[in-house]
Amino acid sequence: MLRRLVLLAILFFPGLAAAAPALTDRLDAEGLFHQANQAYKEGRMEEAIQGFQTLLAAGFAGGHVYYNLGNAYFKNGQLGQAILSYERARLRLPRDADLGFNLATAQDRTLDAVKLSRGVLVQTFFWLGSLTLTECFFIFGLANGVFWFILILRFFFKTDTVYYLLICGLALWLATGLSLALKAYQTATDDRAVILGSEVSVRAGPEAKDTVLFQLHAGTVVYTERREGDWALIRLAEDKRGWIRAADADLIMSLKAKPADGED
Amino acid sequence: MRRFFLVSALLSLALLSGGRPCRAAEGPTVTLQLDRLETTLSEAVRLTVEVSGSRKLDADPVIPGLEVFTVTPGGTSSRMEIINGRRTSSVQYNFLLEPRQAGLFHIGPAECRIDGQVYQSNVETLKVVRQAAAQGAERGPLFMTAALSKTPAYVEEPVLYIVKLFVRVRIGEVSLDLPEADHLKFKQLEEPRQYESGEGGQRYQVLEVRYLLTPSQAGEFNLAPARMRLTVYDDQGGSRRRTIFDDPFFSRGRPQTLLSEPVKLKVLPLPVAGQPRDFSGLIGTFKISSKLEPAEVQVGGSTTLTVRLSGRGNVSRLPDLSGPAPSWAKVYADQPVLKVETDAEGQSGVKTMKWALVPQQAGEYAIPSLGLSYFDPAAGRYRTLGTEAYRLKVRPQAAGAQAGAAGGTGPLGVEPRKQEVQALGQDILPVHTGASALAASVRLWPPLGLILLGLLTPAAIYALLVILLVSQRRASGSSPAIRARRALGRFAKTCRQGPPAPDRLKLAVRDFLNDRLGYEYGAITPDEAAGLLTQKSVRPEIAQRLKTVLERLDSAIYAGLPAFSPESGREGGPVEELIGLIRDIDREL
Repeated sequence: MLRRLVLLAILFFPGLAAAAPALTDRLDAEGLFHQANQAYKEGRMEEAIQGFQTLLAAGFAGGHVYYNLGNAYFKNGQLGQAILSYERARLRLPRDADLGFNLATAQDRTLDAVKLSRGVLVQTFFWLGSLTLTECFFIFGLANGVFWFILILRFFFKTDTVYYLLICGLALWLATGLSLALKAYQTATDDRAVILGSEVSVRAGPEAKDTVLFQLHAGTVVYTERREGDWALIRLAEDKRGWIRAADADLIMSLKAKPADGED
Repeated sequence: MRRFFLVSALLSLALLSGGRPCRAAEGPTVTLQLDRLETTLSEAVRLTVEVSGSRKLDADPVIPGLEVFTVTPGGTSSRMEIINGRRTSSVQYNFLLEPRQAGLFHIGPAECRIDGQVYQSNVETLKVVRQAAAQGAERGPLFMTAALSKTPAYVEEPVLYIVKLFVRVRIGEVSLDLPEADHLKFKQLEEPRQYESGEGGQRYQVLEVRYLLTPSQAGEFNLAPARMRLTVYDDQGGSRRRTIFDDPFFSRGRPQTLLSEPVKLKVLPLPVAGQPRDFSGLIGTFKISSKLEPAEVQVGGSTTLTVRLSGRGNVSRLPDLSGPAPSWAKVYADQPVLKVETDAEGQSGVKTMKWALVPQQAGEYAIPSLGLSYFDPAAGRYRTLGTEAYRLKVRPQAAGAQAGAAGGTGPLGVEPRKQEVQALGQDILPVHTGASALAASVRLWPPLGLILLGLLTPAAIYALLVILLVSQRRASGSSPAIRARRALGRFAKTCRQGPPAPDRLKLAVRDFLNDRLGYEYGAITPDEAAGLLTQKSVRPEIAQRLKTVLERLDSAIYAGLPAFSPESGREGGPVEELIGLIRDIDREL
């Protein structure tokens, strides 16, 4: 019976198995985390970076690990990697004040004055930037429960009060549902990438002989449109576009984190 | 005797009628009239063309000789008179003539076309002179003057241009055209003022308008006369009591143009010799004042140097002074504030500038004087003013200063001065070291199972509840369709319970019809029952049979008669017969 329940749980919550490595792994992970932090404090940044990356590869891809990794990269002088890590941490910890401060400090060091434009929907649903997708889902789940509960209530009490409660519940359901849908869309289609190279030439075509249109520097956030071989087509907010070597930038929402492939 | 009376009567009539019979006037005559034969360039003349003997012209009169006048139509009037039996009719055309040049001008003859025939008027001669007599002499009831407050003036020195209108008659609709000249800018100072003044032994109402005239270039400027257009209303005599008809609306006005005297303005260039290097073009009389508060501060504290420039002249040229730039303090400058005020004598202004000084090291420091240079037109030379030179004592920061700041006010109860937080360095915040950081916020996407559970569970609960309630309702038979389907069974069951009591059977029939047809009748008569069945297409003989049965049941209930005939019980008894009848009805329905 217990085995059946476990199987059922894994069937419905496949992430549980992936997200919670075995207990022994966790003990190892805590040790590794401690070692990496110690290396960071002692200024051995290469070692700290290595430690945090091992944790991420083992599935401990929490916002704080990305944050620590960003710090290690920053102290190691790798501005692009630092901003990439901070941005990845921000997907998981959107309201973390330390993270916001460090990201702003790192962005101050970038050389390119580029500001990505925000869409009308993102500006309208301004609260989405402060919530993770999971949080949006839980809020919608709560609103969903409230809505159906009022609907059941209406079955028994056909009073005006219940009617107005139902209208309010419906409005809440629509607002939270729309927020969830938009957040899911944003997360699934997030094509931002961070320039990693200290000086990256953006060319007119996906070949080294193509004309250099402009140059970008480490830490600049760009949009990626598509890839062709080792090259990626990128664009900036002000409609500047061109091709860079794919290795010179990395997606903030790494391909592993896309929902099609499950969790990172 | 009788003949004498007749002659006397005829003679009297002849005397009364003026000796002439009543008759129409002879052919039309045209007269041209001016209300004066000599005028000035500023005064309008009223021209009247009167046509007697006719009240209708083919066209308006044609008047030669008006080329040098501005002509304003003054309206038409016609009249008819009968005097001593003589009937005269006439029409008058009025015009106002404003001369545009001086000289002697012949006006007329006016030509009027009446019934196809042209009639000519007389010719009048009008003398137009340039201007009224010289100042000081009697200048009539209306004149205008223009004057400058000073001449010569310097470039950019504001000068007052004062226009005065002297009036002893009623006027209205006043407009003023200022002379135009390159490099001269007029600006009205305030609303026109009215007062009473004596001039040439006469009392006048004076309307005064002041303008600030600013020359932007040196040279001699001949300002053309200012031109004032107004309407003068006919004065009906000062002693007469004024009535509503004295209002300009009802009075006849004469447009008039007044010219002031031409004015000469000499504009001198600013002297080059002795011009200070920091001269900003400021001309007039000015003052400078300053203060430093507090005069003693701690390191990191703040003191404010305030400099105030004030005066009269071209205040828009008040410069933004360069503040102190000491090496021992950080300086934060406020935006200078300029306030300009306008009065009858011109413009005055105050410019206030503030600098906050935050000393970085202890000691006693001198704050040098700040200078202001301007040109004084009265003295004809440049002047330079300076602020007071201050000494600022900067004390070292007390050891317990921070603790004191945390404790609130200082020992004297004075709030510590707020200052901007200065960024002294830039670095990132440290790493997270707690083991809980490993588990925090791992997931970007919630698990699919959780999504399904969260979204579908409440809906599933609702669906289950609905199914449950529907099945319960079905079980209780409360649905009309179910009631209809079960009506016959319930009827048979009721009938077979106990002995065949007529009242129970009648109620059973009513319940059957209610259940089967979906009605809620409390009672039903035999006729109503038969009618209902007929409406539902039940054969009439069956409906009639039910009616008969119900009538019998009624008789049994209310009259004690037997409900069923003796032979009715042969095949199963009367109850079964009734059940059979209801079954037939059920089938028909």
